[in-house]
Amino acid sequence: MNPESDEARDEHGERDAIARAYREASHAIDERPDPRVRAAVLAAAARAVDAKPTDAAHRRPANARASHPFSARRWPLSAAALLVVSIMAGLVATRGWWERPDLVDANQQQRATPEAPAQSGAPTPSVTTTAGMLGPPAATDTTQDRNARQEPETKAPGRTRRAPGAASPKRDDANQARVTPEATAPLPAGQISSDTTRRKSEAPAKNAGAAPAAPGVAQPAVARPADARPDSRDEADTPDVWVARIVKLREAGKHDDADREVTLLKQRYPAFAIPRQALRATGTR
Amino acid sequence: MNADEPDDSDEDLMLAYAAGTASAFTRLYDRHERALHRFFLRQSLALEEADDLLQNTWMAVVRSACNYAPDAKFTTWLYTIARSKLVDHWRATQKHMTLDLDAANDPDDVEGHHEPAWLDRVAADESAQPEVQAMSREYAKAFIAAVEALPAAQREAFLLHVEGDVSIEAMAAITSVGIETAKSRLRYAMKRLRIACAGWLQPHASRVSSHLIEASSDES
Repeated sequence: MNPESDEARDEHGERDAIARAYREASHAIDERPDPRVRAAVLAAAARAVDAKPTDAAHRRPANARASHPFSARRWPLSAAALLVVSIMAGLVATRGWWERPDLVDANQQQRATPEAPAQSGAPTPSVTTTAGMLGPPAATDTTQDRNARQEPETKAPGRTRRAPGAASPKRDDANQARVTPEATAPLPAGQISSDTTRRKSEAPAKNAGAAPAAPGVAQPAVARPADARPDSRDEADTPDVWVARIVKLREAGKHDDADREVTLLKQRYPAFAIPRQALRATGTR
Repeated sequence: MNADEPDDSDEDLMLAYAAGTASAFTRLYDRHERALHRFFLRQSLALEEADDLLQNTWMAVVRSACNYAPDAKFTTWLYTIARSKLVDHWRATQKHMTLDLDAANDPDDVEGHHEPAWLDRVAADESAQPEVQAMSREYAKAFIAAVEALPAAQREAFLLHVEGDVSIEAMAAITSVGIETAKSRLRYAMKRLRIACAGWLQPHASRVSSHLIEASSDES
């Protein structure tokens, strides 16, 4: 028997005995680590597996992100969509649908069409029908209806619509200069330009006192003078009717009103010879 | 590979975890948790420090899983990480001078080593309480105290051997010393423990074992 091997065997036996004694002593003391350490480590291990799944069953293809066209922009698109929806909701909340011209025009046009003959005082029932069909004055109608809503009791009938071929001209320059701010309120560009063009084309005819407004074309609303009476005259009156009303005013002693009517009559019909009885009080011709 | 096989080796479990099987890591952790914890505890560390080092070591295992190669035993790799964490801890706290590891490399002082104070306490406890049931836990504490009183290098060699089941060659690799040095450290650690516990180690060890068996049977 080799003494060295015996010594090694004894050494190993002694080492095993001491190691066994140590393990038993450790078990007897029963030292355990904090259970939170285990939880933390296992959670980290699970997260690492989730973050870097190398298992073939869970592995995404390398081009998976590239194959999805919106995957990289999903969040920006969502944010943009949310922003647009928010802005639209804000606009709807702050600006009612009744203020939207595109919605109002159709409603107002339908509503105003049957009323036009009664308001105009013109004997041509086909005017409103034509106006309703021609379309462009829709913005003007809207403005006029808005004025009508704002001053319903002072609105003179027949001021917003013209009858084609009506005996009386629609408006004089003074009245044109007294266009209310509502009448000049911002309108869609196309409507403004068409209305301006229309006014320019009508101006010489009005000054001449002979040409009526184009059929079916409504004029912008005209502001009434602050001191004018709503029933003192009608824009559709003929000069004779107008003169007769002036004479009645003078007979009633209302010379101031009569003088104002004479002035307006002269401005509207410069070529018309005003009878003497209508000029009596002022001494003008 | 099925990670649910109960007799999977440590290396297989680690490879399974590196491949994405989280349950393999759980089994691996449960196998080595307490031994690694004791490895830290015996290094004269407080319980909280041992817990921290245990967690840091396993976190490093998790981070390094993808780089794991089974060219050595898993325990060799695990205790290499653990020792690195321990040395870092010592350096950070300047508590347990790293130089002690090198100063204790010379095992020649074992013969002249004086018996530590814990041995007197164990002897006193033994004389005062001869009953096995009363002594079992005290003996365990005394033995643990004897291990903790070993020179750092010898203690480290002893713990790597008994806790990590690390071979002499792996121990040399872990501690960055030669094989003979590692073998000497372990040998002298055993000798010191044998001298310290001479006359009572073997009989009490058997008595502790028998007591533990009885205690476990009573509990069940």
